[in-house]
Order: sequence, then structure tokens, then C-alpha cells
Amino acid sequence: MKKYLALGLVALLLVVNTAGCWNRREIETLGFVSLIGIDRSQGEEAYRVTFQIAKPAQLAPGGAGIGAGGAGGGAGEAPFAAWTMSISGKTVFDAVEKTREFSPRRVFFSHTRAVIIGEDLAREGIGPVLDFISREPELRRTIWVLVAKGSASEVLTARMHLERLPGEGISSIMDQVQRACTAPVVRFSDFLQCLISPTTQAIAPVIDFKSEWEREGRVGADGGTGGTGSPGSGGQDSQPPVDVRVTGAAAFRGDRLAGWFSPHEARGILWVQGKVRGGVLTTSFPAAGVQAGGGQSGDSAAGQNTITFRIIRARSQVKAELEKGKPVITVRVDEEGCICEVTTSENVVTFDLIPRLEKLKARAIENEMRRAIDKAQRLGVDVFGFGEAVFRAFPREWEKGLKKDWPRLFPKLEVKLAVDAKIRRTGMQAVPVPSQIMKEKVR
Amino acid sequence: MQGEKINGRQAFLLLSTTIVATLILFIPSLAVAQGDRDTWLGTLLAATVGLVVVGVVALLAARFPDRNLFGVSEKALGRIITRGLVAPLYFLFFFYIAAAVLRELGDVLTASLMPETPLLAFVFMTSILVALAVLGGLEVVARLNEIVFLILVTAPAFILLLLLKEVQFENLLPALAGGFTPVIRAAVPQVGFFGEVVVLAFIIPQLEKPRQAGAIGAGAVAFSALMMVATIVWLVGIFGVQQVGAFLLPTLTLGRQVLVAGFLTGLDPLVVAVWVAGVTVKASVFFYVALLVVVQGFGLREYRPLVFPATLLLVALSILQFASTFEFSEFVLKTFPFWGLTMELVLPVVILLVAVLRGQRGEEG
Repeated sequence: MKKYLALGLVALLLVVNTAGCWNRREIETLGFVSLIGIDRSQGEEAYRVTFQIAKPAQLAPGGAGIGAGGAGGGAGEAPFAAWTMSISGKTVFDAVEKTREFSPRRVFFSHTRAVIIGEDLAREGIGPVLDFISREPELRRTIWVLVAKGSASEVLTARMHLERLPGEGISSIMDQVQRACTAPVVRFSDFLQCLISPTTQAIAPVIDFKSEWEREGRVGADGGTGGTGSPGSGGQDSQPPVDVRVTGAAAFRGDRLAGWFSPHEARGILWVQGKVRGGVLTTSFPAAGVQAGGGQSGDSAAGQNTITFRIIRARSQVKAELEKGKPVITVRVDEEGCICEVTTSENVVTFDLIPRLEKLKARAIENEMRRAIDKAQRLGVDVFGFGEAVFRAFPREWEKGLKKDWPRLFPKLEVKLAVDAKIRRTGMQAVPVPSQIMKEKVR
Repeated sequence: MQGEKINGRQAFLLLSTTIVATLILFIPSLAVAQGDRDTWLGTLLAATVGLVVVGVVALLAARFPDRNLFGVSEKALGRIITRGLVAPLYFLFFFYIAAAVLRELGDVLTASLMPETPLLAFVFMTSILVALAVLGGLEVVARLNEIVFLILVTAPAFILLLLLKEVQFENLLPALAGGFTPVIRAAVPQVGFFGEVVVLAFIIPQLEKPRQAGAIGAGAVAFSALMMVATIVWLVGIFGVQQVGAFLLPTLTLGRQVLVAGFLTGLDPLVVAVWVAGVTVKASVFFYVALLVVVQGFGLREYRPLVFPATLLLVALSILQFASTFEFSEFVLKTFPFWGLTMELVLPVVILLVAVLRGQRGEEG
């Protein structure tokens, strides 16, 4: 055994040996790029690349004291431990090489967490900038891809709460968003896979400044407001406009930005893809006719008579069929969750009413999916992979003509939805508190 | 011969490393570019051809347990044809492959990790290691490989396991959408690698039990096919066929894709380690067999004095043989399958047939 260990050690040492000295890179000579932003710029130098480079000294625990005094942000805000520089270049790599004129340390991409694409560039086509990302050995395909509303360089200069290094912050936000499911969370490899797929179109999460999104979001929601997702008063936030946030989705047609999906529409896509892993659904409970004596008015103030469901897990199944030569898609979603907030004035969380609540939730899920599908069909972008599903089920018919007709077939495609939603638990409270107040309080 | 003996397990591990070491690094993407979703079926087809080669080797071993392919050829085809034609052909084949394998290693390291390091540095250093291993003899290579093999299995298994969650198996569907043509096209770049099991025919006398040759070869081919199928399924399941087809170093990309719990990431050095170790063994085996052919062809007693001069040739050849990585993939796609099969299948079959027709047998057979 000892002999084998020794031999194994020798073998490992030999491996280390082959590395040689040519490409020796000492850690203090490297500038660790935490985020890359790519924008379109005018003139011959077509791309403006923004690098956010970590400042290791300020990242160290001891460095907190230095930053605390000088930090321009409010009290308790983490100091900004990054240097952001924007450089224009004919190509992305051209800009990368130009960093040598400014940066005393060579930019190094092995620890890059995300690439952020500016809106203008996304509209003009992102194909040309993606080659660098897949070709550069230092970059991994696990980095996140985000699309900025507005310019990417602005997002990169924005400050982040709680995290000193925005790259790490965005990466953590992506983890959070993955649980809220209000934006698709895509790695470069997944993004590229959709971009080069024959029919599936790519989506990416949207990153922007919070306040700006509220305005845009209102406009977007006017189109198709269902009974589902108006989560009361959310618009009166008075946060400073430097808060970045990840919400909603950008859909591409080919390599060009085709349109935006609101957070709820984005989750609609995720339901179909079976990628929903959490999040909440708020539904207003139709008070009228719930129980025998329930004749109160349904028009209560916002925030009343709502039930909020927490999604725990969901699965989806996309089935393709041919009806008279035309493809028909059936999406089955099985969801499981619990009740996390009830504001109804009556006790609706009873054994008898659970099936009704489950239906209510199923309808809400269906609604999100329908909105996403309608929007995708309007834009003509198959972000769900329905084309792939048809191809898998009917490879022969697909090659014979469906593939070619897909851009025309998709907008008119019949999509059937079947949602089965389950309520498993109700949190720590059995009877809704508002209903207890209504019932018990002597008036 | 040299009086060296390796046992059945050592021979199995040696052949497995020899086939797998280069097969799983470059070839998956070349094959996927040809065979799309059905590439893994192409692997099975190529492995089947490998099994046919094993069958021929097994028949040879059963008839002539004391002779290697050169020895059989000398008996069946005569001294002149064997020494004048068969030996040079096999020497060129094994020597060229050994050089190509070293070259591949150098190319990968320069492409992925150290772009500014000259190719020669890697090729030269590895070839010194190879020369030392071959100087030690087949037994030494076999024992070295027993350690290498451990890494060769555990590292990929570890990576595949960590990535299991990411694999979307439906990316492999629909199967056989384009009929059998993609399967055959995918098999072409792989078939020569499975055929490399033919080196077994040259070390039959060094096996402790020559009659095990069939089982040893079949085991090695099956193991290699398993590794290759897993690699292809994982690659296609994670990246989709379009993306994989465009990769240069698919397995390395696979290693880079690991991201578990936010910190277990960047396992590509593991792939490189596997690869450096595997390639050293593979090049040693081929170099050893090439020298063996020379020794037998010229009727020498010892191959060891030839090792260092031949190593210099090996280094020179591996630098000169391809001008770029494109030439290498052209070679793998267009030359190697046919050249390989000729040397691995056609020639041994001819030799075996002649021996059978002439009713020849070995001393013990």
C-alpha cells in the first residue's frame, strides 16, 4: 500500500513537471476579471467591452476598515472592491488586448462569473461576440449570460448591496432568482445550445436598475393582465436607482433580441421547460359563494382576500402529436407546493376547500404559461423547444417539411395545457389570521 | 524473446489504457460532427469491429501461442516478404502512431493551458519519460500502467458522476432519425482506435497465458466502448449535438463544466492529468512494439540500445508530422480509419488465412 502511495505521488509529481516554466503566471500579476460587459459602440471599433476587475486588497477581511470610511454609499454598505474599465475594440479580443495599455495586471478570465450583453448589441446580433467566449480557454461555459436593459457598462458600474464584488453578487443573485423563478437562469453552454439549435430560440435573464424596470414592467403588463399576478402595491419602492436586479427574460430570434418577457411570462416559459423550482403565486380568492354565508363583496382593498402559494417543485412533460398533419403540443405540468400566506376574511383553508384551492392555483399556473406562449407566438420565437419535441416524436415528418415550415407553423401552433397542482402543507398556521379577527373580535 | 511476462490483468489494463487514452479526448466531437445523436451507436459499431480484430488475435494466439504476429508472418509468408514488407509496414504504423500520440498531447497542452510554450517542450519531456519506460521493458510499462489506470478510471467516473444531474438524455432522441448512415459515419473516426487492440498480437509470447488473449482483448474493447459511450452520452446530453460537434477538446470542456455547490469546480486539470498519464503509457506501448518489430526484422537480440536513437526520431517525427491541428483531424478522419484497418485487420487476417491454409501450427499448438 505504502509503495503504491509513493508511486502515485511520483506520478503526480511528474505531471506537475510537464507544466514547465514558459506560461508561468504569478497570482499577483493577474487581474481577475469578475464580470464582462459587452456593448455596441459606434465607428470602426464596434464593441465596447467593460471589464470589472477584482481588487484583492479590498476583498480581504482586513480591508473592510479601509473601505468603510471612504465608501460613498450609505452606512453599512460594503465597499466597492472592483475596478471597472471600458475599452473599445474592433473585436472583443482586440479590446481584451488593449487592456494591457491601462491595466498593470494582465486580465485573467478563469474566475469570471458572468457576461452581460448590452441591449443595443443584443438588438444588432450577438453572434460575433460569442465566438471569443467559446474559444478563450480561460473562460468556462458555466458562466452566466445576462442581457442588460440599456447599456452593459452602466450595469457594471452599479454598486451592489451586501457584496463587495458585484461579480460575486450577481452570481449569488442568480442563485436566488433560480429559486424565485422570475427569470430564466442560463449558463453560457445552455444559451449557446439554444442559439445554434435549428428551431429553439435562446432566452437570457434581464439585468437592469430596479426603478427603470418598474416603469417598463407596467407598460408590458398592460397587454395581458390575467387574474393572477398583481401582487398588491409593489411600485412605491423608493430605493436609490443604483440597485441592479435580475428579472424577466430577453428572447432572441436567431442572435438578435426579439422581445422582453415580464417576470410572470418568464416563469411561464420555465413552467413549460420544467425548470420551476420555487417561487410564489398570489391569487385573489373569489370570496363570493365560497361558503353558504359568504355573500360579502368581492371588491376588497388590494392585499385582501388573497392566497399566496409557495411552489416547492414542479415537473413538466411536453408531448407532440400530429392531427391531420398539423403538430399539436400538449404540456403537462405537475406542481406541488404549500400555502404561505392567506389574507381572506373567511377561513378558506379547510379540508373541503383544498381541491378548489388547488384548482385555483392550477389556473394561475396555466395563466402564466398561456401568457408566455401567447407572447412567444406573437413574437414568433420558439423559446420552449416545441420544435425539438415535434422532431423527437416525428423525425420523418419533421425532415420532410415541418422543419422548413416551423417559423410559419409556430405562431399558429395549438398548445394544450394540463396543470395538476397540489397543496401539501399550510405552514405553521391552520386558520387564516384575518378570518380569526373577523370572527372572534366583538364589535 | 525478452523473457518478460505480464499477467492477464496487466495485459487487459494495458490495452484499455492504450485505447481509451486518446479515444476519449479528441474523437467524441469529431464523431459527433459526423453522427449527430447516433454517435454512441457508431461507437458500438466501431467496437464490434474491434472485437473482430480481437477474434483474429485470439485465433492467432490459439494456433501460435509462442509467436507474435511477426513470428507467424515469418512462418506463413516467408522470411523475405515478412522482413521486407510486413515488418517495415508495422514499424511505420506503430512508430507513426506513437509520434502522433505525443503530438496530440503537446497540441492539447498548448491549445488549452499554455499557448506560449513551444510544442517541443511537451513532446520532448514526455518522450524522455516514454523512453525510460520502454527501457525498463514491457513489465515496467505494465506495472506503471496499473497506477495510471486507477486515475484513468476514477477521474472520468468522478467527473461524469458530478455532471449526472445536468445530462438531458432526451438530447439523444430521436434515435436513428437519419437511418444507419450517421451511425456508420460516426464509426469511421473511431474504428481505428478500437482496432489498436491489435498490439496484443505482438505481445502474445509475453503473456503468462497466451490462450487468454481473446478474453483480454474483448475486455479491453468492451471497457473502452463503455468509457466512450458514456463520454458521448454525457457530452450530447449536456451540450447538445450542435455544440459538441464544434468542440476542439470535448472532454476538457466536460471537465470545465463541473460546478457543484459553488466551489467544486474547474476539474479540467484532472482530465489533463489523466491524459498525460494515459498518453505516456500508450506511446510507450506503441514505441515498444515498433522497436520489437525492428529487432525481429533485423534479427537482433536486444531492443534496448535502439531506444534513445529511436526516441530522437520519435520527437522529430511528432513535431514534423502535422503542421497544425487541422492536419491532425484530417488525418484522424480521412487517413487513419483506412490505414488503421489495413494494419489492424486486413493484414493479420491475411497472415492468419495463409497460416491456416498451409496447415501451420505453433510448437505447443
